[in-house]
Amino acid sequence: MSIAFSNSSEVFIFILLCSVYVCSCLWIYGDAATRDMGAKGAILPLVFIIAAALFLILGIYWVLVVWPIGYIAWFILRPKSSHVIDH
Amino acid sequence: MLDKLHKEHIVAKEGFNRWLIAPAALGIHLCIGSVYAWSLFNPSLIKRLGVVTSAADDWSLRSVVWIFTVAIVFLGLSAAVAGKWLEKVGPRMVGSLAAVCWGGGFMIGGVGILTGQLWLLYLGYGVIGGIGLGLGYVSPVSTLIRWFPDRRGMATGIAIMGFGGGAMIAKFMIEPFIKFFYKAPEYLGSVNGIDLITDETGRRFAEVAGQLKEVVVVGLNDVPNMLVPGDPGVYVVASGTVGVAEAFFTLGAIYFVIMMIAAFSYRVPPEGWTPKGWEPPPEDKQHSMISQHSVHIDEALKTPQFYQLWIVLCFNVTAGIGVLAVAKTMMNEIFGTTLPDIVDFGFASTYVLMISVFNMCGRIVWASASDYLGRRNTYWIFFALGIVLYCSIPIIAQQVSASPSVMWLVLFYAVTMLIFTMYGGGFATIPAYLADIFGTKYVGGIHGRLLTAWSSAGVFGPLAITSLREISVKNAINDLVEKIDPAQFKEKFGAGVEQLDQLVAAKTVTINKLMDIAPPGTVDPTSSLYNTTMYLMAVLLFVALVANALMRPVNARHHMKE
Repeated sequence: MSIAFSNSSEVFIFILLCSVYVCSCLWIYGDAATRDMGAKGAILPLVFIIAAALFLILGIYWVLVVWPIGYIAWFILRPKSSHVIDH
Repeated sequence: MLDKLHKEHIVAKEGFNRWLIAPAALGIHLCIGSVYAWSLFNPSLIKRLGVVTSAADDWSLRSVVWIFTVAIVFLGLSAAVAGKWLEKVGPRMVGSLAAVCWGGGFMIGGVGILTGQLWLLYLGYGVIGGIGLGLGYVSPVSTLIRWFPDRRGMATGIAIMGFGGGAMIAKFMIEPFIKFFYKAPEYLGSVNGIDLITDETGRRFAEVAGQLKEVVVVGLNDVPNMLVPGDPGVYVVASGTVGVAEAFFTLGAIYFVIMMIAAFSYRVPPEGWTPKGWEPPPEDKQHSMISQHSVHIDEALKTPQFYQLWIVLCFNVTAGIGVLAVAKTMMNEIFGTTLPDIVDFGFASTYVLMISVFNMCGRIVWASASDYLGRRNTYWIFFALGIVLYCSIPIIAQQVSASPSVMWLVLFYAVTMLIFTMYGGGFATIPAYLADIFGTKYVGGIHGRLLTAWSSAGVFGPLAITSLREISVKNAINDLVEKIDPAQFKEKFGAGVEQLDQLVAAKTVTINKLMDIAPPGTVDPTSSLYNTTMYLMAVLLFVALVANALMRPVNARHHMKE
């Protein structure tokens, strides 16, 4: 872990941002499932997880850019129709 | 053969006693709960070759402590991934695979220890064992909730109580097994009677039967740290066995057998089964948080309620880890110095044991109470009371430093124990909360995905604690240095204040050493080192409180069609 904090507010913000990040991975997975994407729906969350691991373990900050890019790409490219899963 | 494990083949016959499921679930959780006893392996793992003390080629503590974190991360990931599969194949298949992974993980880890391959230990215990943890953790949840629709909280509380108590039971197996398999290394004699050669890498050698053999030297100060008490002197490296690999094999076999028996005891209730005389609560205003409709496992990820519960679990666990990690240190550092006649080694050991006991009891007590209080109200209590308790710890620490009194010790004990019951209670009540909100059909799978909150807390908690302590120590040292005469500082540490960062990094300058030269009347900042940790944890609990307060029933558009 190669992250240094200078005060407790930074730690708090970091925890909040990490929570949003993890929840966003789960949300995109669920959104993909409601659009019948099957296993392909796991690709983007997996990329996000790998980026987070690289950031936390190796301190590579720039890989996190995949998160906003991925999200924008997702909203543009995802299948247009979604449905409630009830089976 | 595998087909026999499928849920269609384990539907209970008429008259099956539903209480038989509880001990099976408890059995699996007691086995996998032993993961919390990981730290008991550390002293042996770092003496794999040296046996009596660490040899040059032994693993460092830093390299083995992360295995526990890897296991917890894989617990969350496997539970999240396997949750959907669990709903498809049923608890026996998942429980059996959990037994294979958890028992097998120990076996592979044991091979890693025997051969000195650290990566095998990470793969075996951390990755494969971690997958076994996740599968084992979620396997009984939905089954129990379906068998006990009238007492969801109590049923899941019984199982998850096992996870809290697993470490306590493991302690009584791990230490005796390690001692049983321990074989002392060859003793050459006292250090004065042996000609030792030190090579350029710092390793020490002695001539044994005309051959140079690597040795380790045990000094008088090392004797208390020996796994099995022995004489100080010179021992031949790799001539004995520390017993941990053999303990791994034995534990793996025991856990495998118990978990398989438990998995084969699982039965699922017939479709539509309810306990005799029990009617589902009406969906009126009073019971509005208990839904009679089910939400699909994937659909649940698109509801705000899932993320509210994620925050509730994650921040409750992070706060719990925060106080778990510092409570023992606080007891020793603050109360051990202010009330040394009471807080001795025995007192501190009992305190650690009581942490496990209260954590375990909190799981069954709070989860059962939630059946009567309601799930949202139970978490209200956790967070509202938790904020008060966390904020009171710095005040207690400050008071005991200013005027040592047993009253503050009693108060600290009571406050921390109550926090530990709520930490355990948070884990045990969440499956029933999920069943209330999302229905019972996919609760096991949804619970699995929610456990990513636990994995995340497993990273946040330690990160927050270490960071906040570093910040507090740095600030305390800076404050003390400002009060100290620079000439006196230079005389004491042999370097000026301008080199403070290097002196702190080399542990030459510490708070205790600065207090030696601080002006009279300077307050020792040790008791306030954990204030920011406690306040941050209280803030996290406040966020969780808001998330819980905003909990509403799931919008009907997410419900599955009947």
